[in-house]
Amino acid sequence: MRAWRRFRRHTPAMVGLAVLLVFALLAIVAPWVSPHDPVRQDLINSLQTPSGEYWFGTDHLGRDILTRILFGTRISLLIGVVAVALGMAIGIPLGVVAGYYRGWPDMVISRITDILFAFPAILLALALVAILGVGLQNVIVAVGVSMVPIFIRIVRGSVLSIREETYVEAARAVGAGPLRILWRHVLANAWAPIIVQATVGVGITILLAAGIGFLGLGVQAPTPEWGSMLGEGRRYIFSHAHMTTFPGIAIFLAVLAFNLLGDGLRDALDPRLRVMEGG
Amino acid sequence: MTTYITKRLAVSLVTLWGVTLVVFGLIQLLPGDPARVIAGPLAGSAEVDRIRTQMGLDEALHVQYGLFVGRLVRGDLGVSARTRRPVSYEVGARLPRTLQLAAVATLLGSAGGILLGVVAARRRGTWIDNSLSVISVAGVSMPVYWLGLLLIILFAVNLGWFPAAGADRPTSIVLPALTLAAFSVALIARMTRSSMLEVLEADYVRTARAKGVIERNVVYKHALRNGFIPVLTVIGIQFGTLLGGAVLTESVFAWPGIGRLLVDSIFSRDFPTVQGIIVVYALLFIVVNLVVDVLYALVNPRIQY
Repeated sequence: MRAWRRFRRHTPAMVGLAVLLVFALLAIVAPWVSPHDPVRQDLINSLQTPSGEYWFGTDHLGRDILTRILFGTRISLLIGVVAVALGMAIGIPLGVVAGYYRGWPDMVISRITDILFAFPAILLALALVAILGVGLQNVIVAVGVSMVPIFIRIVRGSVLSIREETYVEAARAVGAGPLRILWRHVLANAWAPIIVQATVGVGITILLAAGIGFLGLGVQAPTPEWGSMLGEGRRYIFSHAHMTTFPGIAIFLAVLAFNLLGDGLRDALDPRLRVMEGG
Repeated sequence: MTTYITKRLAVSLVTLWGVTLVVFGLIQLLPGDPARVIAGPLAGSAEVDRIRTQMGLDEALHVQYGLFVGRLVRGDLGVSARTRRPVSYEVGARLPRTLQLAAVATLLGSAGGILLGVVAARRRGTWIDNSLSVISVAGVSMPVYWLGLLLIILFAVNLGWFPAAGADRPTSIVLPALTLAAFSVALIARMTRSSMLEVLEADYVRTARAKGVIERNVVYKHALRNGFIPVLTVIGIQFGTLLGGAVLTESVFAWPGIGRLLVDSIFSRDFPTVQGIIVVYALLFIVVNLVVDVLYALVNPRIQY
């Protein structure tokens, strides 16, 4: 539990965690605390600046921006978590096989990883959106797939060193089957970097998905999504900047919180990982 | 050295071949009749049939792939479904703008990042160092598209210093380049800081100090020259990331590069152009990585291959 104590003392990480807990809570209670309807148009009250009635103002269709941001929390967290889970589900097994068996499986998997890395994440995601079409599900798939190469590379790296450990050799010597060795001994010791990457990855996917939404290629109207709210607001930045200010702050805070939490986890779980910083 | 470069070149070629497989695979993923999709929403059925025969879409997969690679090698990226001009022409006309934007942003990002990183390393543990680390986390968490909008509100709407959109004036590049550089400043500053901290502990730095070299020269001549090597790699990787970030930045500022062309093409279902841009992006990325790795080997002859 030394890791937990190190983690608790990491102030930025605790701030990040607190922010995320608030976001998660808001996502859950959104329907009960929201003062207005997130999608119903109210054209008489369009483009109101922030006031007592509309804390964050209203958009061009008269919808309360605060309400839409609260509901948008659900969408963004959903995209981030499911996309990262998808990236892990594909990336971790491939990384384990490449790192543990080496030889030709490693050759093939590592080359595939290199190839996927030749496409910037946003490009890979946009290519998939171009083929699959817009919408929530497709954005999750597109963003999730673009996370796969990162997980392959990280898992492969740690498995490569873990497979040489004495406890793995010992497990092999007492006749443990390959699945048991991989699950109980190799993967069980590779979790630290995976958890760190997953945490930071949720932030990255939220940023990416909101970018796609901003372009108008993500979750479609009238669903309240932070990125598409920003995209709708950009036509009004000369007169009604509040339409872009609040969704922007929401995206920034959520991503920042995941990054702070990720940094803290990295320091707590494996101080040696700090060397990889910036890579 | 030569063997290293040869080997590295071979890896790049294999990656490039893989890219052709991925892009070819994308065509196969298309729902419905690929000839119909490639011809675009405006084409008549005669046009669709012509494309089907021309691209060999009736043939077996391996024949199609052969034809596809053959066209790529000749620089033939197909015909835009929207403008009916060759995709290579459309991309070629806009590529210089994207390269210009990414290059200026890389310069800004590297200069700013290295400076901040060195300052943070020299003042380790002080408030300057701490606030820089806060800024760098904030920098990587910042949505470029929102930062772009903020800069437009501040510098174009309120102050009126720079144009908000387009590329007609020499100052048009300032806001998009700043936006794009913000992300890499943060990463390069972090990398420079940790690399400098390591180097400042080295024996040759202690020797330099002991023989009375003034501190500024110790930092900028002895330490930075060695601390720069890992930073170079990050700058190279950043260039690729910047090309990706350019897709969003170009859309915010209506900058006429290939990133904006990509988004427009997705909207107008101009699949040949989308595909062509993806190929060009991947090619650029592979070339940049190759150059960075070779440079890395040149500046750091200690590395064994």
